[in-house]
Amino acid sequence: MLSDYIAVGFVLILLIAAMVALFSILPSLGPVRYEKRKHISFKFTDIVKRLAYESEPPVKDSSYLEPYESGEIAKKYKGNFISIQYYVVLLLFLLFDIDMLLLFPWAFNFKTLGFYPFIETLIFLAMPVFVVYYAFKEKYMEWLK
Amino acid sequence: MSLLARTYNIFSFLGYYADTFLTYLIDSIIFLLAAAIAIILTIYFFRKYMARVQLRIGPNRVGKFGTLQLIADALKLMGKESILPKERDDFPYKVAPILVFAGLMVAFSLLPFGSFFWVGNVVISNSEVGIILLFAVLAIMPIGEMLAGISSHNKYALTGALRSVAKDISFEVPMMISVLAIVVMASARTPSSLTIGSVVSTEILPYGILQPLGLFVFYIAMIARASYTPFDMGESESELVSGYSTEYSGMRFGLFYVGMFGSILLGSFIISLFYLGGYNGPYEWNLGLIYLLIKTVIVVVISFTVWLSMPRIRIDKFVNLGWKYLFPISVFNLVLAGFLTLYLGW
Repeated sequence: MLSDYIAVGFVLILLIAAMVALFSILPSLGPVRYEKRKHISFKFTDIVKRLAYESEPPVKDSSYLEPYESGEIAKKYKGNFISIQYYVVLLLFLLFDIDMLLLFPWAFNFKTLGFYPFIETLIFLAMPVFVVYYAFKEKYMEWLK
Repeated sequence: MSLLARTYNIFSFLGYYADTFLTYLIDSIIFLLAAAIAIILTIYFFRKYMARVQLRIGPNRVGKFGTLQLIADALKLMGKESILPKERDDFPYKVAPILVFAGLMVAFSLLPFGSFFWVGNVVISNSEVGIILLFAVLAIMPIGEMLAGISSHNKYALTGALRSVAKDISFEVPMMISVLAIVVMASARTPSSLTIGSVVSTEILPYGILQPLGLFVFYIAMIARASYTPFDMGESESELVSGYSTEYSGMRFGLFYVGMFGSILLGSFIISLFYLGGYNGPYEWNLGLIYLLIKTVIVVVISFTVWLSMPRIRIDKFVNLGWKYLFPISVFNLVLAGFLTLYLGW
């Protein structure tokens, strides 16, 4: 039973280990690009970095690391201007996600359960379908008002 | 015999525990390499196919017919520095691309791939509730996109992440109801109707013929999940610079790029497993993997043709498409599948 999932676990562990190792090796630079070096280092990684010209050419200031703004002067974007429509979609989805999970055990035994549970499930499904109909009728799903 | 059993026999002199460990380790590595090669081949094929559609030649300098172009691109991406912007939230910014890629690969490892000549059954995991687990794992990739968009503190990235999450969750519901219809039909034929392998083995007549509406809805949902052109408002180049991956560069961007093509390939595999008969075919020569690959390549070509020939649609029209049309169609498909199973015994 559990042995069926060992391979999935191995895939996950191998992949995450490989990615972490990859990103610790690959050059990823931050303030090194514009801050002056203050000391001479004889550590192996530092020597490799100097040899590979990794921090060259140095840039003048920290504008190198500002958020991308298509050439404008960047400002920090405060994420409090989110359109209200996304919340409506999210609420509808939350309703249905729980619904789906409850329906899978019914579908697993569909043939043996027979006719009456089928009708009951249809009534159960009709309630969220009515919610979607209501959201469209009251124009909550209209983005351009 | 299967791939696991053959590997187990090779290392059987080591005793039970070491043998089991080595078997699963080596098979996982083989599987990861195969999946990576398949994704690289998909990207190469896409670049050649796009060039042909747009009356160009495509990559033809590196290697014969440009076959080594993708390796050159991967080396270039690795050599580039990845710029870490100043305003980022550090941990989620670094985790996001790994999460997208890991979700994709774990979803690949849950699929059954049929049998292949003398190797036998090429499957490394066999879950009893594979369908639920597969769609649960597929829900990891939007989390990575969301983390990427929010943690980079850029307005393009945030807008792109909001759009792509709205896209993903409004097409999740029709997709799941279509899958529910398949489980309903499979429950009449097999006692374990939540295992992917046994669902595929019941497809003497493929479910795509029995449920054409379900195939239609599921195919559109998989296109939306892979987020390419008719539904790529999450990273629309002309308005948002490149969506949630705006602030990423180097190999971190490369992982998002690979994740997109990988989800096209994964969606094609899932469609050909659930709706086109999977690894079932006319002859019993252990050709299951070949049949599956042929069906998958056909679905991939159709997907690329859709990608290259459709304009992008607006986000509100898109969300309305999901909730207004595809959702009622999928519910109707579920009712139809229930009546067919109960009364006609199909």
